[in-house]
Amino acid sequence: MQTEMREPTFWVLTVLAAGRNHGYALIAGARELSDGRVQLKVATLYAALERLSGEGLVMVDGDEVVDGRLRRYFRITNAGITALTFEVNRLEMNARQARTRLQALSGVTGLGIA
Amino acid sequence: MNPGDVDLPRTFSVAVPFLPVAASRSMNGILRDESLADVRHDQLRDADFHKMLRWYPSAWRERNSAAVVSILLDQAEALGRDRPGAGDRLALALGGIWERFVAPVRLPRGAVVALALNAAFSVFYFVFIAWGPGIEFAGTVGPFTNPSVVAGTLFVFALGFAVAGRGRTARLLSGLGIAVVVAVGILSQTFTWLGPSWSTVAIFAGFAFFAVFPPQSPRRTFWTIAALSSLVAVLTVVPIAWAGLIAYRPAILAAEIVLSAGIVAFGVRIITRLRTIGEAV
Repeated sequence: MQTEMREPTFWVLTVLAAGRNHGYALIAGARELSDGRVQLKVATLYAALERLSGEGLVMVDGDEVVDGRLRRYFRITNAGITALTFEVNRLEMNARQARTRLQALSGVTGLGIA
Repeated sequence: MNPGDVDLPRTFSVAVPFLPVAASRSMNGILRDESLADVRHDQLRDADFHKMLRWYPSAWRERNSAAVVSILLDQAEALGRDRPGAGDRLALALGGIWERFVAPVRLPRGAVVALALNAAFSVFYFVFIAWGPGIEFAGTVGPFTNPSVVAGTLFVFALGFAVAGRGRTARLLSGLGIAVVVAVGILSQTFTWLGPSWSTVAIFAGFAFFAVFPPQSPRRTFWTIAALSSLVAVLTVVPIAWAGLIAYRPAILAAEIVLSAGIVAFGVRIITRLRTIGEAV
């Protein structure tokens, strides 16, 4: 049984789903997509990337030097796409259940829930 | 463009892991007018960022430090900082400790075998040697005749972590076990406790040391484990056989001979298996 995906993992895979990217762009992408709520630390990012590489969900896609700085690019694998799809379906199902009950509650209490 | 200048692209693939920032920028001609003081400043700043990764194991640093420092520098520049933030420093310290002692990593098979033998010897030692409920003597701990039970428990847990793929935790526990068993050995000899003897300390610490620092050569792996296993065999088989002889009870003696033969056969099997593993490495 697949376990719940941790938030840094979710955002790393989500950013990489748009294409190969390097560490700094992954941090910026996660911050942007989460409306500034997720501020990945570099240590957290690399711990996640090392683990995801070990699990075969992402892979290193080359090193490049830009302005004298090494940029390591990563890309999502097919296994990573499958894992992210599974997580998205799980989140959607949870959200649907919660929304159904909230809508029923708003009908009883008159609370305006969109 | 001056004569002799090379017009390098701003982005290019490299085989080397890292280029010093100041040097490569000068190479690109971007910062040609940068003063030496600025270059020196950049170098010191880069060194400061590299220092933040000292918590990580050397293998991790070799693999990732150039890329990680580049991200830290990009972040610092975006925030207008010249030094890493306190949050990043703390996160890297914690990340390094986690990577060094907790992160999942498989131990070499020889090290796992050493941990298994150490755990087996620990159980044997506590059941047949150190178990002495009711004995009142200096150094006794609960029903055990000496406190090396603490080290033995660490070795058993170390095996569990190693099997679960937590090699670093297994090595940490083994290292702690070595410290405990050596300290208990010294106290035992100083205050005349009921063990452990120096040979017992050598077996516990030897196997654990092997797990913490596994030999790189298969030949050394084989001979180290073979020597420690022989020591275990001598310390377990000989007293059992001797007790049977003293008791002079044919039935007990026969049972003990069978048991001893079983232990020796098991040891031979392990050594043979290790030779196979050693050749395969």
